[in-house]
Amino acid sequence: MDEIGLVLERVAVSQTARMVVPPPDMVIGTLRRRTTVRMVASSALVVAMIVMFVLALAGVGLASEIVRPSEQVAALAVATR
Amino acid sequence: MTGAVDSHDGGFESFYSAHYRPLVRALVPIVLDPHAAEELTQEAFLRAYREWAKLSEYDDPRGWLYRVAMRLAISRWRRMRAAAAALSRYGPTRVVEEADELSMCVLAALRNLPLAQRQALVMHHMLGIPVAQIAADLGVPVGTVKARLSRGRSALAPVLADLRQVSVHG
Repeated sequence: MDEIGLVLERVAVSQTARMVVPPPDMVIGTLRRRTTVRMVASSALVVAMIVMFVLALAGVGLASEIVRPSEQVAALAVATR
Repeated sequence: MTGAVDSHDGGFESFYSAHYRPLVRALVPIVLDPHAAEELTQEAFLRAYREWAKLSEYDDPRGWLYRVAMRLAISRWRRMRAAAAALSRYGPTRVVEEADELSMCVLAALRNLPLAQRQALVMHHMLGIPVAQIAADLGVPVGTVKARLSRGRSALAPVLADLRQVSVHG
């Protein structure tokens, strides 16, 4: 290592003198937590999309129930008379 | 949280133990913040762990780790630059703890250099990576790396001259 390298190294060492190396489990734990969060988020998105789809279908069904064809309405009116 | 690193993580633990501290040290002169250097190191190891099945077969997984860390440092710098206006209201970035006089001088000089120049200096002078390899790792032409090194050396030259004087006279 040349002069610049040595100086940079010395600076880095002085800055990290009190650094404690965390156990590797910590890194792995973080990765697992992230994976879980990502999985939960994507599952929630899928569930939300399914719910919205079902609601949309139900809405369309209800609308077709409420708006009856005009012939049906006319026949009902005749029958009522 | 897991109890211990699983047996199928073959070699990750020793890789981690061997390179954690050196990587933090390589990142400190680049990001100028030991806490940020640690965060970047942990993120790089996280990615290494995710790819460990493939990485463990590499001749030099350390090279991969350092490349990822350098890219993460650039990404962080871009994010910081975007937030620079807000940060500038609170003064300069966190001042490092318990720095000796030499470190303070060098850090002050490094703070005036762009990240790309600090990165080139660290990769070449501290880590001993050849210029061509740095260019390939960073995706820039060799001439750009040489220019960055040259400007970086010029900027550090007065500090190094002062240090030489101090060591001669004192």
